[in-house]
Amino acid sequence: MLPEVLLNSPLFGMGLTIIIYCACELLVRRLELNIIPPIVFACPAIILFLLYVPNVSYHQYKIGADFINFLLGPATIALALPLYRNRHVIKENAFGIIVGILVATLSAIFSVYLLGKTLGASEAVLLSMLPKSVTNPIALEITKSLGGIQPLTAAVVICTGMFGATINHKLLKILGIKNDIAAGIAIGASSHGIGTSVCAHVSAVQLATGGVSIALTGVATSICIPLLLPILKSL
Amino acid sequence: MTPTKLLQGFSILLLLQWVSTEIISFLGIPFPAPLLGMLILTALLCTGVVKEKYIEDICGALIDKMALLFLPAGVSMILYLDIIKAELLPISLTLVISSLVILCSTALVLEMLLRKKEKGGQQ
Repeated sequence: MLPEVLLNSPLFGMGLTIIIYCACELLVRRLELNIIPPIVFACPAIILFLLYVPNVSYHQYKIGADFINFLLGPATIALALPLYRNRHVIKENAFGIIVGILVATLSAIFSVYLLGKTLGASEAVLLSMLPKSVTNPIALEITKSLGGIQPLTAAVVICTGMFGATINHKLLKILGIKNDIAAGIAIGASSHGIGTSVCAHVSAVQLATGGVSIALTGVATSICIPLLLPILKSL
Repeated sequence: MTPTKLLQGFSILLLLQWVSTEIISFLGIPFPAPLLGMLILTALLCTGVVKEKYIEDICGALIDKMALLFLPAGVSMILYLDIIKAELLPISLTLVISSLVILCSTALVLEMLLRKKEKGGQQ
């Protein structure tokens, strides 16, 4: 259906990603669905496209999509700017932020393990889900060291991010959270970069603390899981 | 926002990613290079080595459209659909409930802690 020349050039993956994202952004704005981030529509749309349009493969998509994926590196480094601009807020609240990161890390490890076990997930799936709220590169390393299934971790981490991006701010509003530091730390710790990217349109302090939170929860989780795993297994 | 400034800022970000990738591979630790780059750039901004005006345009643009940059990673889920399908119910329920638990517990504890601090500061 689509010409082979197009499918094998970076234009396909790059074009599909950007065009569908922009279309979803327009759709969200037109239908005033701004409670749902465009990526939540765009991601399944592209997956369905790749699954159901004949003679199109994920590997062809990846050729161009990798260019966009590459920009995540510079974008993560760019989070230094809100971090720098809000350095005084962060320095003044350093103690609270550290407590928040610990609460997040511990509640993540215990809730995932106990829920998963109760709901009948297999051991390999449990281990692969433990780092689900951490940024993907760190999560993959943790799963590798635990002997879990790395692709499953990657998928669960992304789903967690998209779920968080959709509900985080609504839930915080219901809970009556007014402090942007509390919101930013909680969002970064529960739904890493995908959740935090929504903060860019809400508040600079949230964005800055979200960035800090992603880095710190990543480190804290990779230290805490090996320490807590023997205790969890004995429960 | 000038194209020249965007390009200069982008060069700084790419250079930092390069440097932090080298550092990570030298140390051999499992930590994402871009997060180290973020910390290095913050330090450079604080010490005044890099001026805010050189990077603010590119940082603003990248951060504003960060969700788009996650899209290819999201689509890569297509490779793992079988694994997810096999234990769909426990995986999705654990994901949803635990996300709610983490968000609520962290936000509520911090809100209380920081409110107390504010009050303490006023007295």
